[in-house]
Amino acid sequence: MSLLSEIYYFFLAQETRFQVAIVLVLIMLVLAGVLALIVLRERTRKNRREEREQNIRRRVEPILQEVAFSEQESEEFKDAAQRINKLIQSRYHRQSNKNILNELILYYHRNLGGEAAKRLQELYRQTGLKRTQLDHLKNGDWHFKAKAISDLSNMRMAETLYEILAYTDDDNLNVRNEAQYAAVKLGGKKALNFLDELKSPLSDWQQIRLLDQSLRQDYQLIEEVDTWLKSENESVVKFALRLVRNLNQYQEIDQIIKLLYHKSIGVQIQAVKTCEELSATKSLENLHEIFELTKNVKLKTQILRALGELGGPKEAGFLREVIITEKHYDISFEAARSLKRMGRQDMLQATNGNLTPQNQGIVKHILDERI
Amino acid sequence: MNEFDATYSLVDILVYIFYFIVYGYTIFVMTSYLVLGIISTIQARKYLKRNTYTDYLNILQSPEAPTLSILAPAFNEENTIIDNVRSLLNIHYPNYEVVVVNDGSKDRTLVKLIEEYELEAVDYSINYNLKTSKIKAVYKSRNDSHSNLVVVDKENGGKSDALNAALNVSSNDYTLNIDVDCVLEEDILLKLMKPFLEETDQQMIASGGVVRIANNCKVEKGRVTEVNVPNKLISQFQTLEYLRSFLLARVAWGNLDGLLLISGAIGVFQKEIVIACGGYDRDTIGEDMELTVRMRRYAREKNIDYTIGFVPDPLCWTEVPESWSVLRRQRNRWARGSIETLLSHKRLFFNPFYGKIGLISYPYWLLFEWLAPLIEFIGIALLIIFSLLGVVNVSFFYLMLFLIYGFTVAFTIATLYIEEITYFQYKKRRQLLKLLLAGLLEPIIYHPFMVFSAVTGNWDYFFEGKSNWGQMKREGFSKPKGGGRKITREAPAQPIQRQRKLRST
Amino acid sequence: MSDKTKILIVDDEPLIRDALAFKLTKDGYEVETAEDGEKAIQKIEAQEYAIIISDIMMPFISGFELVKILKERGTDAPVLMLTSLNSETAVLKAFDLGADDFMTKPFSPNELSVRIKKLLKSKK
Repeated sequence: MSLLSEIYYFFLAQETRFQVAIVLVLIMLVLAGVLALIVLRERTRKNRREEREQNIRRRVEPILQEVAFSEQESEEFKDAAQRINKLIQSRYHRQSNKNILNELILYYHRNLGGEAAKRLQELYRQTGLKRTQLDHLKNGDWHFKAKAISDLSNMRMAETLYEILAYTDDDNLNVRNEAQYAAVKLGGKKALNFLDELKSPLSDWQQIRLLDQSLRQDYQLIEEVDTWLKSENESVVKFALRLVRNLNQYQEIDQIIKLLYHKSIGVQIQAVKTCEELSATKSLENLHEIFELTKNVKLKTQILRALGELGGPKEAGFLREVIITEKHYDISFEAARSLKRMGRQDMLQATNGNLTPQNQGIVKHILDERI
Repeated sequence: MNEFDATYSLVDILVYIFYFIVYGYTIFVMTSYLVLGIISTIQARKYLKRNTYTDYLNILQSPEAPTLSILAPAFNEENTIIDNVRSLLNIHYPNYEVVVVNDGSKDRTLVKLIEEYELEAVDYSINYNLKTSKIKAVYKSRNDSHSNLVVVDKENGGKSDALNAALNVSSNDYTLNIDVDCVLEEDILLKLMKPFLEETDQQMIASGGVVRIANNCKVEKGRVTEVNVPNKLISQFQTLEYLRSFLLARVAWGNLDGLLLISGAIGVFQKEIVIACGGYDRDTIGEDMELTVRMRRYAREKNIDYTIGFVPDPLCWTEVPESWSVLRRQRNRWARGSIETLLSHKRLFFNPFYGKIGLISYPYWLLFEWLAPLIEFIGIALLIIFSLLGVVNVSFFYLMLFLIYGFTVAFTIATLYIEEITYFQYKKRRQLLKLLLAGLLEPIIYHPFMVFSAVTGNWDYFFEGKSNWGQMKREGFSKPKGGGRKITREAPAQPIQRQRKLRST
Repeated sequence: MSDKTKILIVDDEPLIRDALAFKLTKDGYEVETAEDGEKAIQKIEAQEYAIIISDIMMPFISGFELVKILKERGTDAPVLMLTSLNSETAVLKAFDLGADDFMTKPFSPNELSVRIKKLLKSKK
């Protein structure tokens, strides 16, 4: 006791700056100690969780396989769902066990299609995981919401579409993106209607995902795409172009030719690509025209590509001209490649005499079958 | 008497100024670390929360995924080249090519590549946007399953030169520039490309990633299969240092869009911008930082609304030096690289035209990466002098030193905590204990050594004439943020001249 | 030696291997698994399989390379690629290298069964 009070009086006897420094040092030491303990405890907790995960996996996997690959009716799942729920029962780790199970079923489902997938979906409902996710969707933080939306749509819980649609306008960008994507996944092209009014830019990432979903659906005529092609929102126009060319929406060719003259280079490039993929031979004149008008190298090369794909003897002659006269590497290269794609190696060989050394190199490269 | 009074008051003033600088500086350093720590923790958590539901399969399966080239310069890598290239060929991405540049290796690097991958020289045409040493030949594989591999054989010109050659050969819009002896995670391209695809308001011109330490990790067939804490204390120190630097500082700076350095070990670049601003500088020591700064300048001067990203996942593993002398040389070089880049872009200093970069990043880098070791070194030297003169209260300084020590340790442990709640690469409790222990020793052993190496770097730069660009040319493959393996077999184009220089250090 | 038809599954993800093995065993085949291309080659050298099902993105020796090596060696077992890569280039490359069939994940196990049967029949 007296030692402590001695230390205390020693402390009081110091100058203020000493006191402050001593207190800070003590805080640091305590902080360091506490943090160290937390780190180690966290580690133990994680290791235990991992063990639990292994354990659950080992025991649930056979049941999952049985469910996925058997021919039984859904009535018989009840037994499987009960067995699984018994396995993950735990006084302290119920939520964590549920998450492990959730990931496991999602993983199986991600890799399996057809009947097997349908059975897993039924199991997802019967084990109560769907309900848990809906709970997260309503009451969770943004990342719980986003995760719930993503999981429910991945598991094809079509009946939750209505709940999910409520979030396509959410204030949180992550939740919104996830909901838009999920809506398309569950509801098909109709869910793309949000594009009609969209003011904020659609990121390439989101475009790729939405496109990916659209590609998985059967071919259909998408009438709304016409509105999107005319949108004020450039990113929506780009997305519409991607949709058109990947889903072969031939009815839009005239609108796309108009877009070749769009003020944004990005849109122009997408439009050229689309003309190429839809084999829009009637765009040839316009492509020639834009090639002359633009100075942008990317757009020019994209046009040359399209000319090679769509054109006939006239375009072949034009490409040959470009190879002979053009100084810019990328443009000459694309011209030569396009000519080859047309199957006109003969014309490439014939150019050889009157080329710059650079373009001679290009022609050689293009003609080398080993590359 | 008068004389003595005058001297005394002068010393008095000096001491006060000294106090002021020391306190101010200490407080400033501590607060800025705290701020960076807080920002990066928030960021990392947010990123991880998003990762819980991110499905990279979308991009893997998309016909619209941007195409990309991996650029891997190689110099005397015969022992590892086959495995490393194979791991590059097995990265998960829909459409990419691998450009390996053999930068005039003196060993069997090229021969091994030719044998293993059935290469043959082809009539490859090269777009000479950037000047490089002579390219001798370009090879492609006869084996169709390696149709995305291009091997360039050129005369030795250093890493920058090799990367420039690779940029000339690359046929895609984006490039991942790496050190060939780095071990990459298979999903590296998916994760690094995502920020480019997500950006809507600005043009993302580059993005960096985290470098992790591979010493003592199990590496099989060109990929890390088991993560371990290094055995040697020296690499444990570096592990802590890298965690702090990448997990805290760079994540935070990345979030503030103020990164001045994208490590040469891993970075994705928009090729158009790299070429437009002249590619890698072949005459500089720290070419990775120099390029990052130059790209920023270029974009700003051309009025491009740009940004540079950073991905906090552990995606790239590299070996660090395990010998103190190699480490000292490496840090000496990093110090010189920083100085050189900072000096050659001094226009940025507090220049409002360059926005955050000019007003915050550059001064911060100047103060912390360049001047901090000097300030510390001078401060401690003065402290010793003053205390010998008996003009300062020594016991208070001891207390201050103790406080700084406490802060550093607490901060290091906080870093470990962040690592633990985010990426938890170190799975074993015992290994964490090792790192905690190293954290206690680091401020006493490692930190003074770092200060010393940086001071010698400054000395060499300003007084030993190692600032001369021409002389510093062709440093071989000594690479900042790179590995010790490289540095030990560093064999430049002019070995004799270089050796002499090394000895004089 | 059993007279069951032997199938080799090559995939680096254990869950997929297990699931496939379960399904195909149930279909009455004798199933063996390998976790990468290298191990697969060792197994194929040791004995003959009626059919090989392989992933594409695997460490060290990829599925593409595996097909190529097998076809060069004149292994007559048909190879079915089962992969999450589904770009056109991947499909073209796989068939170009000699793959006999191509399925993308998520795959329907029943469809897989049918395709295996067909491949086995066409081999005879």
